Amino acid sequence: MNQDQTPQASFVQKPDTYRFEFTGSGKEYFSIWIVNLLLSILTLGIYSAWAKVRTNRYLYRCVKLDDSGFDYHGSPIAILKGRIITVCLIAALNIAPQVHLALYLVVLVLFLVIMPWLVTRSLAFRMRNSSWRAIRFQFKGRVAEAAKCLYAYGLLSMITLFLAYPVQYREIKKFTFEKTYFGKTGFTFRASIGAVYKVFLLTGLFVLAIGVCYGIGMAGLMSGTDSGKSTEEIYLVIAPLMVILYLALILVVHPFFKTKITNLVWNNVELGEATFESTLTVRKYFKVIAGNLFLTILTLGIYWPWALVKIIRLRVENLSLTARNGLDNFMADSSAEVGAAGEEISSAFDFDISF
Amino acid sequence: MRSISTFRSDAPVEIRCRYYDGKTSRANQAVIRFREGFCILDFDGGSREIPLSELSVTEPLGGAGRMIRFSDGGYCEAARPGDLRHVLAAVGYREPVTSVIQKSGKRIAVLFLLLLGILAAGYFWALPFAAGIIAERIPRPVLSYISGKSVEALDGKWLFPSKLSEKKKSSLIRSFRKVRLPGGPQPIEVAFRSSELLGANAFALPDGTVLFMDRLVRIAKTRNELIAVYAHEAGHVVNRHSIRQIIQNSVVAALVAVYIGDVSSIVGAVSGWILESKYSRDFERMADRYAAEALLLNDISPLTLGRALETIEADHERLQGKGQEKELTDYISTHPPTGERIGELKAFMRERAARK
Repeated sequence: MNQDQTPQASFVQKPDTYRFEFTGSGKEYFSIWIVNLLLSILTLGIYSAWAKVRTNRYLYRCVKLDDSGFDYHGSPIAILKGRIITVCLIAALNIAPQVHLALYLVVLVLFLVIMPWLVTRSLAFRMRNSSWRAIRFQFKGRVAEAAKCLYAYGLLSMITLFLAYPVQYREIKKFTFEKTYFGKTGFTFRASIGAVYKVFLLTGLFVLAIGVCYGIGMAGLMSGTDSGKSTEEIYLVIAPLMVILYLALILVVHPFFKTKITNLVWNNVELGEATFESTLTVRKYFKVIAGNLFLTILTLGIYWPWALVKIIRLRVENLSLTARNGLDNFMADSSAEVGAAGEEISSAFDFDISF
Repeated sequence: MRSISTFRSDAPVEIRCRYYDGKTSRANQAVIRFREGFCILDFDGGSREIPLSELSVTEPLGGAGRMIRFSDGGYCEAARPGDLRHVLAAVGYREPVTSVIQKSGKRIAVLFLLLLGILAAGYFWALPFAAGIIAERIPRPVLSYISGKSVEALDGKWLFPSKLSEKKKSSLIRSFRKVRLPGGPQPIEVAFRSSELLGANAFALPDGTVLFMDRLVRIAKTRNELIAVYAHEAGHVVNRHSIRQIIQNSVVAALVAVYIGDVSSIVGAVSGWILESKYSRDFERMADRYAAEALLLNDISPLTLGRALETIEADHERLQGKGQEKELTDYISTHPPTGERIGELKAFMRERAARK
């Protein structure tokens, strides 16, 4: 189906615009998923690190730009290490308060101190292990900058009761994009504060509307209790109301936010002189999300691999890159490889904390 | 990623591919040939001879591109991954096991059934079995610690000091002490609390503390009904049900979170709840059976437990309004329906009568 559309699309396209393509299929991903799941269960979860590498390799290689696939090079051992670190951190945070309040405070402070370091190392790991046309990405963000995004702006959004959260969101995006390089070429991020606020405010209005509906429903019920309705009858009204509002949240508000923020972010990202364009629409996103949710629940989760592939395809195939000088002139950063002496030491601290 | 030094290097094959040198993002149209321990790469910009020992092939993953990688970071991406597979097969390269399985729909179907079988066996048998073994080995101080913490967390929020008279309490404790339990005396401590939220209820903590709610003591029609409830809770204590439930529920919750968590946390929570409620109902049935044995040992009819359950249920209905749609909630309830439990107690008695 998609192959029929490609010639038409390329006819309309400007010659220097390259669409991202996704060649994965639900059936293929299902096969990989099943093998991964089985081996992960049989090894009591240890294989899950290898499983993640295989999943990433498949998904990255299925993303094509100008007929060339992306690739993932992460080592399963580093991912296993990251998972062990994460589990230990969560365990420490849960057990410490049971033992002694002072210990909890120590663990909490320690956690807050190393968090920015963990985040930067993990981002660096992910970027260094991603490539396109044999050129690696890099992340050069510093721990202090991550701490500023997380804590300085975090504090700002907290004391303003999250009214300043869009500011923090923009800083985090700016930090992650502008410290990322494809070979020697850096990314820039230019989204304005106003545009970010617009997306968050519109989403906030949606959430508020749902909150008001919930409030009205509840108030109606409260007056119902006075007029002597039984608890059963009240539950019969409450349950569908809650379900409808929850569905509105995940089927309307979520696609709305995702679409608007994805378009805003990518339409303001540049790689050297090349510009990105994201053409998602709420309608397309809603269709995919609604279908995925319905079929995943109906099949008790077996549909999940198809669902994931659909959502990735939607996001990838709505993205394009316009580069006036073509895509052949990006340079690898040879200095990154010259510093291989330090690689041994730094790879001891390699991990990926994302699940 | 595998080395391909096992190639029969004289194989007359070539692959059309794109070559990336790892220095610039230029895509070079190229042809690969294999000859005498070398891989010969011809591309528009030149030609390279690379020893086979410096080559590796990436694992095939569906229709995703496959690469022949060189040790200097450059690689070739086959124009059609299928070509590469045929060439590799022709030169005697063995694919990794995972890819052999993934290629065939039949093998995946078998694997899928195997997975369902493993999950079902784990859920119905292995997890309860393992939790039983682990629960036996958890030292007493840990159990007391957990129990102390849970009571600490509940006291003042859900649980309040008992309003029963000291006389009443000590008389009850004395009757409970006299109850003979299967397998000899058990380390059970009885305590009393009042709770509006829990109503007429009793529950067993991991360390063997059994908490009776005031309301249960008040509504019980006879002393023997309370002894029956005590025997039921003793069943939970003796078989370490609360700690087993903690273990089983955490494993189920973790697995559900991994499996469904990405889709929706609420769907995940609900399915976890449905899965866990089966364990809870199983424990209730086991404790009922234990209580029936205990009651017989004390010359009390096991049906006394049934009467106690009816008394408790009637009281809950009086407080909450009558529930009509009982059938649906049975599937997610933590306790089996009272009617069924009484039926099982009757079956137990018939079984015993037949044996004599």
